[in-house]
Amino acid sequence: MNLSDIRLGSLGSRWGRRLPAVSGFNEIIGAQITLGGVASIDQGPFAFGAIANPIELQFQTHSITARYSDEYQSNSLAWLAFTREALKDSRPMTDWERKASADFFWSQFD
Amino acid sequence: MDLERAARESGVVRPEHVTQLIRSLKLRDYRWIVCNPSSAEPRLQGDLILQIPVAVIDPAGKARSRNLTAMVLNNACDLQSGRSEFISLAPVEDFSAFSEAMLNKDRDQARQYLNSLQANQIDELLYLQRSPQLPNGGVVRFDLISSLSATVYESAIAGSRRLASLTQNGFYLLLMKLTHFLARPESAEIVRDSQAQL
Repeated sequence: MNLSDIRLGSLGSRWGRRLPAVSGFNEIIGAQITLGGVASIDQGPFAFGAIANPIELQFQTHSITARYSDEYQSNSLAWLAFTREALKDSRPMTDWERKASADFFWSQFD
Repeated sequence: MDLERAARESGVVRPEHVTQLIRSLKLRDYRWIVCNPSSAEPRLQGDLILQIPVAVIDPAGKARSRNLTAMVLNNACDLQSGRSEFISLAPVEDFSAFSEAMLNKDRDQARQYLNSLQANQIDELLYLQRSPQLPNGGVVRFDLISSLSATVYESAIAGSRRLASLTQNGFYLLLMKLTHFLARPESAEIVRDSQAQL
């Protein structure tokens, strides 16, 4: 079994750390791997299930990657749409506001 | 645009928080953003730290630093001890002093500015309403983000200089403001090269 790509945890996980792992796989979110030849993926929004042998693990990881990519894109677009709508009345500072705010900031260094 | 549906599908706002978040956002009364420092988590994104060095390069190219109240911008995961060498901070102005300075410059322009600010409608700023932790209110300056050695941050934590944490909804608002200010889609009028020249 090629253990070159698996990462345990996620990019944002407090406990995340990289482990040598299975090829053809980019990222597991919230994966938990148990010893003794059984891998279980039991957390995270993208994948569920238990994998009992290395061959099945390789098969599963390809489909996880595809689902992860689709959901990630969809979530990102929904988040951008949400922030845009919720902050639709937000605007950048005017020139006067930018200058006045900068003057106030520097005045604290005098 | 269905705000609730977008929030639910975002993967950022937990389903059980969606209704309350949307209700809070409609209030335009921002007392819900800040609370006492979390006792469960010693390091959180959005924590306010007292008397911590903020450094900015002045127009002459000189580094200037001063101890101010500042908001921690790193994700909580990256704030764990030994995880990062540097911490990103945004200074927090005292709202009373800030608004007085604006009014002294130009009363009419300042009123318009402060109204927008207090409605949290200025991209570069996050308004923090008066609270027990911030009796004069605060203005988080996303236009003045700076970096700090994690060692200095750790000594501030050890010295009990955490002033406040963000509530759950306050945290979502911080993410929304950061996304809107720093990670919104670029204008279609901006044209970039599609390939690197190798």
